[in-house]
Amino acid sequence: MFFARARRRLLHSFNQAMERMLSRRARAPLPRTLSRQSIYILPTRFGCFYALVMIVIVGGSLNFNNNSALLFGFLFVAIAIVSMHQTFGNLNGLSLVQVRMDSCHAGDRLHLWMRFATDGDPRNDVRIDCAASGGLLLFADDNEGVVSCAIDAERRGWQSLPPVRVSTVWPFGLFYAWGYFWPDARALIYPRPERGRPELPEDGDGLGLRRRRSYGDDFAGLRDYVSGDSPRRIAWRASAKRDSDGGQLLVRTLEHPSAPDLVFDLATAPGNDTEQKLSRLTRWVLMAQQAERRYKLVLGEKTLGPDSGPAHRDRCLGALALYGIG
Amino acid sequence: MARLAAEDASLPAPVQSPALTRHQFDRIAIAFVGCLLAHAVWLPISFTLATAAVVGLRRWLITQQLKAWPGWIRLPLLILLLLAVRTQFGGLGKTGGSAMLIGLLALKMAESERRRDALLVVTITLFLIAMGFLFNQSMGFTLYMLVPTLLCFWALNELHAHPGQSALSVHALRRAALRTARAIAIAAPLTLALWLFFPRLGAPLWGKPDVSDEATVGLSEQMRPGGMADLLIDDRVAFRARFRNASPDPNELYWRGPVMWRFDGETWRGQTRWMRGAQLNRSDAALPPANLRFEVMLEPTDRPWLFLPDLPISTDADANFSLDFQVLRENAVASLLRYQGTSALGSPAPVSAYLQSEREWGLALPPGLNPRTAALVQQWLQESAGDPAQLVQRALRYFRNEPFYYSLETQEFGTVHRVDEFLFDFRVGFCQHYASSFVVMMRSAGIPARVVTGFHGGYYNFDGFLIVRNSNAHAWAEVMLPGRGWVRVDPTAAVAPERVDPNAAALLADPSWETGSWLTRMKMSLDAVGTWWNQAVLAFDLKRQQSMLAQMGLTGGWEQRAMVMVGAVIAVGAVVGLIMWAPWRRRQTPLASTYARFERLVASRGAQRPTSMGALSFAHLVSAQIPIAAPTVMAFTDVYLQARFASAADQPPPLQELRDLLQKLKRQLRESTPA
Repeated sequence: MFFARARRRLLHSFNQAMERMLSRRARAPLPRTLSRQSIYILPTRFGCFYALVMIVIVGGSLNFNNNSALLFGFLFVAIAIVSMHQTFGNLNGLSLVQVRMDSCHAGDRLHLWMRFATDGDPRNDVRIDCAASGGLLLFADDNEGVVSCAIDAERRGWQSLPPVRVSTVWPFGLFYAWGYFWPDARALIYPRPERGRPELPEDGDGLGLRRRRSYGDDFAGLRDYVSGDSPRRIAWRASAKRDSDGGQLLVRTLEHPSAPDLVFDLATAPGNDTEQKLSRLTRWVLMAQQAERRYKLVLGEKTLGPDSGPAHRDRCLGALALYGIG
Repeated sequence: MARLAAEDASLPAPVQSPALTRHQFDRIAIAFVGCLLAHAVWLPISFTLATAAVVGLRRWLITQQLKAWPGWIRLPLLILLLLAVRTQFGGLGKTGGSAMLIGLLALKMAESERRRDALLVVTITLFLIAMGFLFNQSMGFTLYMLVPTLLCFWALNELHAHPGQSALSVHALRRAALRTARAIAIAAPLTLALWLFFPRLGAPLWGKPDVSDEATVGLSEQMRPGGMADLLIDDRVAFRARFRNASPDPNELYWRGPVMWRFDGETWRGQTRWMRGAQLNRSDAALPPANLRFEVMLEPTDRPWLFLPDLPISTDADANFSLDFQVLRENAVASLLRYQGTSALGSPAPVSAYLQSEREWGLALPPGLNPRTAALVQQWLQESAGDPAQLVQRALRYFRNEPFYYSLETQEFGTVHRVDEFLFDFRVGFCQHYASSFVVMMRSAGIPARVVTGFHGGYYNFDGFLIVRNSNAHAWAEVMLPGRGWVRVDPTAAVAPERVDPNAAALLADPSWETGSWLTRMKMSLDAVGTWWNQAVLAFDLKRQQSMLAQMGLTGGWEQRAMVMVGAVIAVGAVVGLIMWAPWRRRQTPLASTYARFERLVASRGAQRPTSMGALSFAHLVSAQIPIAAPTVMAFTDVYLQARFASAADQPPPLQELRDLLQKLKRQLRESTPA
């Protein structure tokens, strides 16, 4: 128990030291390739046990000059040595080609996809770890593999990619080889949206509620489905017709002739501090998008809109994410 | 303590070893059973079956989706195993220890639930594979052991593979086969280099391998007439010999082993004081010149004797010559031993400087035994007027003319006068009876005599090796004749041929390449292959290693050998590295090699890409340095980057377009070159 904990602590501080050392290096643009200078290799715990047993076998056979046993002892040793090269070769020449990180809200999981390329040699059982998340690199063919993982998005603003550890114990688990990629990639983390569904700040004319009831009845046209659209608005029949030429789903767009524009102003938003206010604004933006309303976002001197649609939403969320940061 | 706890909180949670899948269990079970089959050669069949049953039961439990058996069952099973080892093997010797390990491993496998258990099982299985060679080192056995070895590494690979990755597609299988073949092609020479150059030990640092609990038959330091029958029907090879400058008739070769002096009426024993103490001093006895040079590969006997044809003169083995020309090692011969030697064929053994002692010992008889023999000899003495040579002839004639039979089926002795019983009542026996009674007759007549045991006969295989089997074991007599020394007399040969039991004759018959059946020929061929294996592999030791290094011009001490070994391993390691990471092997994608061509082209104009620079930045750099080529460079880079980062499945890279652009760039560079 004590040793297990001590070992864990040692490994942990070792990894941290490695990552600190790494952080002093400049991040480099992609693609990056692992090579002799950037691959580390050590025997695993099983590798050490294996070595011990080999010492016993070789020592015993030397002592009794048992040539067959000695031959096999050395065969086991030679296989281990070859496997060391194989473990190393499993990483050598592996390139990180592309990283895609999608924006998300603080407190959510930030999903990232990484695309790796090889120099034509197939790779086996390469593990990718990024922060506390990881996965196995899956190869579609000999040349390319992808992996996806999700890390915690903690606070709004730009979040850069933590070091990506690439490791393998293939083929026999006797050696552990690893290397790091630290590409210059970052994702925009939107503020955490407030919980619940706070009421939208309808403008003073008092007509909002009454008019809203009539929303949704006036069919204006069709447009492509984007994620976040209510399934109720999908024009299934029209989509099915369009499906024949391999198209996407269609949704009905609705005319809101009388719906007034919403105004989300940081200055007037309820909340104890800026972060709470930003949370409220974020929730409003999401709700307005869901309701397909036109809205304007006012952040101090900066004004966005009035407009509607996913692009506007992303612009607004981006502005909220970076408010006061840069 | 609080601080520690706080630190722990930041640590990653301990990772439990992953659970074993059914596939993984199957692989380790197959590897273990492969190894068990090899050990089944010596294990009692019940033990083998019980072990296999435990593993099979566990496999069945997995199929039924049941957990491993409950923990409390371990203790009774362990006790059962201990009892089985205690009763079947009598404790933890070589066989008992191996059986114990096999049993423990089976029990471990029965409760393996996690990968770490499986890793332990595989490693111990590898150990058991090596241990198997304590029992058998033949070539067939060694080759078979490659099977469980490969199975073990197959299992190890499965234990570390992600389940999704071991798909059984033809492509994946071919790839795996190629990879394995390459790994073996590299591991094999590395193994051989390690085996050849790793410094060997001259003598064991600890212990000695005990072969004694494996009932070995062989010549021992004592001889009881009738006791050798087991040996005489055992057709296993005792040793093989090759002669340097002749191929003497096997019937002329008496391979000298233990010499017996002391007789208590029942058993003959050696002269221990002479065996261990006084060694033959070369100046003591006038040794005849050697006329036969040979090499012997002696199978393990667990006894100290080396066998050389009469009369042994010298050997290169680490052994001593006793006064009665036994050749003895300090330690028992526990593994195959290869030695060279010389002999003086046909020469009697000279009497040593201890003439008086030898006479005394050579005449000692137990008092009051065998009165009828003594009476018969007295009668002969009067007839021959005391001439020892005549007396020897008289005794041999007695064996030939009286109805003496040669047979391995003898009667039990009923009285203490065993020689009398044999000479006058039974008259049926084999070499031991004849040698023993002959020596007693000679001693009764006042002629010093002793019993010599060893081997006689054998047959030549087609590879030139004389094969001597346990059934060639023999006992004969030596009498001290004045002026001639110890002269060999083989009283068994005096038995009339027609009175040799045909059964015994058939048992003792030697196979022959010319007249033998195809089965005989196949056996002899197999023996020749085994002989090659023995002399090339099994007999390799410190001495062979030294002579091998000497042939390579290295005669220095252990420092030099250590350096040679380190050098050899480094050299082999370098070769391994070269083979695995050879630049010529580096496969570049066509796209990458096209880009490399581009780089070489612009490098000729002084534009070098720093390794960390991306393609786009480099294109800007080149454009700045060679403005005239800028549009082409940018176009090339654009196409290259698009192809590079397009998904591989999209389309084949536009290589032709890139090549065209390169051609254009080349032209532009040429034109821009100042004349």
